[in-house]
Amino acid sequence: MTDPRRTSDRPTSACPMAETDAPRPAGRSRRQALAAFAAGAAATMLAPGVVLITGAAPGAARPPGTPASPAQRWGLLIELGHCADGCARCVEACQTEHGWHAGDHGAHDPHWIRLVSATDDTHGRTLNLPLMCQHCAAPPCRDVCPTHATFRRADGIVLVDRHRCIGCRYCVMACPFSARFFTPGALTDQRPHMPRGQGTAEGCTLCVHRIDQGQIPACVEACAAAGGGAMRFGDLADPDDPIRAALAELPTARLRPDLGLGTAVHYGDL
Amino acid sequence: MSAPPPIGPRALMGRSARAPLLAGLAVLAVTWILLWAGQAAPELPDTAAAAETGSCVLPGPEMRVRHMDVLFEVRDEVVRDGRRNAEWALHGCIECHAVADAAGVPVGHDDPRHFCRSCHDQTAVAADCFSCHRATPETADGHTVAHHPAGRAHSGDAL
Ligand code: SF4
Ligand code: SF4
Ligand code: SF4
Repeated sequence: MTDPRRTSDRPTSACPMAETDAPRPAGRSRRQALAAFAAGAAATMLAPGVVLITGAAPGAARPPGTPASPAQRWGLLIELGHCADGCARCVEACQTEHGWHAGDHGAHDPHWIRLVSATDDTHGRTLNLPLMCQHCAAPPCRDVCPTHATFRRADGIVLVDRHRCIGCRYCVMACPFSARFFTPGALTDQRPHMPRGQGTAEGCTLCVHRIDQGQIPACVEACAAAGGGAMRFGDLADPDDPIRAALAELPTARLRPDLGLGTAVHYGDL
Repeated sequence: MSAPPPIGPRALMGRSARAPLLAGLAVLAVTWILLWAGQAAPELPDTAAAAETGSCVLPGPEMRVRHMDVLFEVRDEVVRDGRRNAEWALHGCIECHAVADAAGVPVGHDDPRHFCRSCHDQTAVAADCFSCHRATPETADGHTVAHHPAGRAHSGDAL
């Protein structure tokens, strides 16, 4: 937590809830708007004693070898109130699962998932918000991609098909959450299931290789194993999926609803 | 108004242009055969894993001709459609055919002994799959971080 990139050079936001910890130099207006939303929702509190059970396998896993189904819509629910101070197990799990590393290039390094910390200076409450690709229903990254490399799978997961990516970085610029990254140099020792390489864009895949085998994403699994229980994965389109009951019961919100992107990551205690 | 002139390869395929093109191709083919006569056809290196498995997903001669068709088809099925079938995964090829050096360490695609290069070098066809795909079997512990030059402890300050 001693990274000199962290706070000193960032513009001070007029909002009471300023994002102080984003490793990427997101535009000022974007940061302010995100913060403004968080400030509005900061008063909502989770009922005491409500603990989420996480780690359950998705209700309707597809038989192996069948294509992704439009009847499904995978998403996450992250209870920020359950995120322990200083915990970064979700980030570590993602790094191990996919073989990406943050190097010495700050904002230009990959951060498929990162922890954004935001403090409300009116009362000092600090959020520790895991931020990854929100798997938008109407993804701007897909809209700007000139080669259809970025696409939305039938089950709503937004991916980069690196075979078609020409490295133009339009998607990196278009994503309102700075959840897309560019690989500038040659890589070796990739994970077998996760090819990554020079000149291509990348981001959180929602652990599509695990979902296709009926497993839950690595970050969700690691969070549950650590006893945090902050992350829940499920099929948002399935009324019987436990995630739907949790969403109906808990006060949750999504980031930047004003953009109308239909994000698939829901946050509690925002 | 006359029709716009054909562009690209279609321009070569006009009735009048087809005969000279075919003749040219025939000459090229003969030259190629003469140039390569006397050289042994490239062979896939034998590996213990391949011998143990005994059979490939397709018969050898068919794989020799069609492996890229197969890979392209599997690629689209997996990436675009989410239809995963471990039997046809590229990494399966690598697990079976990886060539080890004298110390028993599998060689990467920067080494001419890599099984893809054993043919691709001779045919002067670059295999750029490995600018993204891993060219060797993964280490037994499943971790790659320690091998990476940028590998470092997973700590908060790297987020
Ligand atoms: S969060 Fe960003 S990268 Fe992910 S789908 Fe939305 S616009 Fe694309
Ligand atoms: S960098 Fe690749 S995925 Fe992103 S917009 Fe350009 S071609 Fe599409
Ligand atoms: S779902 Fe998978 S790829 Fe996305 S942040 Fe979690 S571990 Fe990383």
